[in-house]
Amino acid sequence: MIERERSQAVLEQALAEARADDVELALRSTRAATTRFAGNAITQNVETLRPGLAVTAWFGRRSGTASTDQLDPQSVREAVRRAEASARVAPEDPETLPTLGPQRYLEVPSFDPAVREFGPARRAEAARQMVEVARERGLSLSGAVTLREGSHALATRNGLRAYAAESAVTGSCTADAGTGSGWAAAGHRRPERVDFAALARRASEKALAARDPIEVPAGDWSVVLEPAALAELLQWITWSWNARDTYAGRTFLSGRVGERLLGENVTLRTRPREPDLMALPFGWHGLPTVEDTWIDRGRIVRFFHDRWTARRHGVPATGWPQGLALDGGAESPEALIGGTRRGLLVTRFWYIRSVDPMRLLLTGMTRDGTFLVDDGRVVGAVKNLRFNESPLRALSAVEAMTPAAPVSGRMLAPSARLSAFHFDSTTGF
Amino acid sequence: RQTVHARDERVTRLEESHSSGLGVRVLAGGAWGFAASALRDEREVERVTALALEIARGSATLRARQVALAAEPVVRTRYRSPRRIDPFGVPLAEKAELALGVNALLRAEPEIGVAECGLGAWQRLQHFASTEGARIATDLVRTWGQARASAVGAGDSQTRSLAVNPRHAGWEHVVAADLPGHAAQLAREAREKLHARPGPVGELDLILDPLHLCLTIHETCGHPSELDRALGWEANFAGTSFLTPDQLGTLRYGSPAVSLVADNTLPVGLASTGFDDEGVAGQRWDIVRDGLFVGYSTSREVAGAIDEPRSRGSARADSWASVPIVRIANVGLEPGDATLDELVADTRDGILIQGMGTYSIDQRRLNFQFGGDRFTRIENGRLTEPLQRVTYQGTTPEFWNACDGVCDRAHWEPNGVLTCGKGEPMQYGQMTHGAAHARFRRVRVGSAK
Repeated sequence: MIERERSQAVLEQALAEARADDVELALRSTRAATTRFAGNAITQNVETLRPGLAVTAWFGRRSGTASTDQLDPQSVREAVRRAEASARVAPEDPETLPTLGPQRYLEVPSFDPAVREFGPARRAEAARQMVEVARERGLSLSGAVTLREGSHALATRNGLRAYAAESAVTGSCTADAGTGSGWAAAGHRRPERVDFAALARRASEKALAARDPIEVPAGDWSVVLEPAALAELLQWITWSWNARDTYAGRTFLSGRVGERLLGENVTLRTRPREPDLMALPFGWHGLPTVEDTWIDRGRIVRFFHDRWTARRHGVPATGWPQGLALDGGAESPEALIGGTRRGLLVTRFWYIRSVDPMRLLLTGMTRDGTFLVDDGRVVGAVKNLRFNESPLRALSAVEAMTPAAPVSGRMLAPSARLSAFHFDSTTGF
Repeated sequence: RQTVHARDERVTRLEESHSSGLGVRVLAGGAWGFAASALRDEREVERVTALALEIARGSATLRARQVALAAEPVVRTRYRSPRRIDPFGVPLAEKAELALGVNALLRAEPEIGVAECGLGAWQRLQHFASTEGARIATDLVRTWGQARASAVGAGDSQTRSLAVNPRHAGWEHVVAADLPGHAAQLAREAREKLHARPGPVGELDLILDPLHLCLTIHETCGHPSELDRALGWEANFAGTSFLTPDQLGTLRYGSPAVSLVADNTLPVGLASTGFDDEGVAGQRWDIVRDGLFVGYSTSREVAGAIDEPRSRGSARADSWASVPIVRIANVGLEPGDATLDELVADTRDGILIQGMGTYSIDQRRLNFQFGGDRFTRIENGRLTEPLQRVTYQGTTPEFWNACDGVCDRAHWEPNGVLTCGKGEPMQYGQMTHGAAHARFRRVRVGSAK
């Protein structure tokens, strides 16, 4: 990461060099490391330091962008010149707005200096701990231990100045029990909050329980989705709610803004100051990260607007949501299963892709721990299934939820029982 | 890299980015370490190298066996990908004008609610050096583009795309694609799709065009034939492979009409980099020959796992900041001897699918569901009407064993993939999949409703 003082110095140099009418600068630096293992052995072990400066310059309504990952004064000067050269020949943009001025940001605890102590030896040790857990159970474990330490800084000609440091440590692993597999993952900005051995235990237990799966028929099933699976569906709603495309008639929300599209028990908020989430105090072009409600009892009340579209529709521009948190319920995981007459327990989904954006119809696979629930008990493992389902329809059928839990630091989501979820086909394992 | 993007009458992105850095991979104590940095002063070079060594030592504490590399002749040479017009010599203003001009032509057509045009150019200058003595300098240039027309009406939106498919070529590739000249046709096809009936449900014959097959080959053959994946190294992320090494030479992957060949010597191919990022020369080899599974894409580290004495030269990193990993080669479907007219004439109940659409496959590369960009019904040997919302499902070997006709070399096209995601951390790799139209009998269609 680049410390605040040095970030400011680089940005002030770039601003001083610029001759353009308006300028926006984004400076970031990331140190990222991954220790990856498969078959109980490290297969790949990497660390990269990567800074980057992006310069956008405007002459009137013409703009151009240039970026570089070299931050010496000559390279910064050249990036400014290239952006200005592009801006001079660019066509006029009728939607040009002045860059943002000073903003007020929430105090988001995004950085823990302890991340600097999580070096190669400690990462290898974390991997070894995970592998030992699996080995003791006679299993093969694959996984990754990652670290990210970085900084983000923004500055504009109109006085915006923003700076945030971030840290993240994640662990994930997949245990192989021959005829079954299990997966677990976690992430936190504070290294000591990731219990690597616990992840391996959880993945291993799932893998052992997932052995000898039977095939169940495709069709509509009652499902209990663990937080990771539910979060993956929810994420697609937030990726697809772009106001510009909505008003152009190209999204599921087109012509349906303000309607209740999900169940009344579905409320999604942003809580960027939540200690177990990894958010930054600002996002897109320096817009402040907000604490707000985006889905209120099934109605999408807020969705992504760029600044021009926001102005046109008289709503605040907030950028993409950070620190997502779905309101959970009060059921325990055991009660969720206990209340399922016959259904499937899903650990996670995989390879989700859009099939029909106008209905938000998605497809994907179950993976790494899918189980049959019969008469309130998990009775065995099932072979994986492909779904074709819309999160709008699925989240209109939420019967019960546990309290929300962190999903690798990206979102807070509960486990949930849904009364109907459509599986289309099965696969052979 | 230069990126120009326009939406309707606005240029939304006019960007040039420069990136440079150093990546060092060290084999010590029988294990790997890799470190990289954008900073390139002498002190940073020493730091990065020392860090790679420290990381290798960490790797060695949890190692199954010593890494052994397949032998490779040491070379000192250069490679330059083919190009005629330097894309960076074409003024940005001209590119922006082209993109806006395409959009204007699209928006002039009725019912076109949104028009988009994107153009890109990329150049990589790389110096590879190894303590074995290799010194290889490569200069690669790549260009691409796309126009998209969204027809909007009656509560629906349908989009049709035209790709300037990415390849190692200069700006002449974009010029030859003649996006403006195809705009009216693109708009018409988007409108047809908007007003078309949904595709039928049932078992139908599918004829897949070369651009569509690019993605099909990528997902159902390219990925499962990465040897590191088959050995379980991707298990925590993208999964494993049903093509296990014990099935080499015995598994009937497809019908006798199906031969899938990896060719990293194809000049325009995106995996044709002269030498891979381990210094191994580009080669051509069989993945599937007359339906039989016979080969993998490999690196120097994994080649020995299937007793091959030499790497196939398919280890690539997506930038200086990434470690080389086994990557899909330019895997293409060998042409047959049919013509498209013959395949259509011989199809009683089917659909012609053009272009790329939705795609999803399971973690062993068996159960898949694909869509497309343009769909035309085939009835009693004739193309009859446009369709919308067509998807099909299959299981990989059953699907390829249902292939009973492949068009000839006159129909063959190389189409590239720019953003193949693989690895932890994620890397975005590139490769090309050439194919001619091919027919697949009795495929399950239309269940995604």
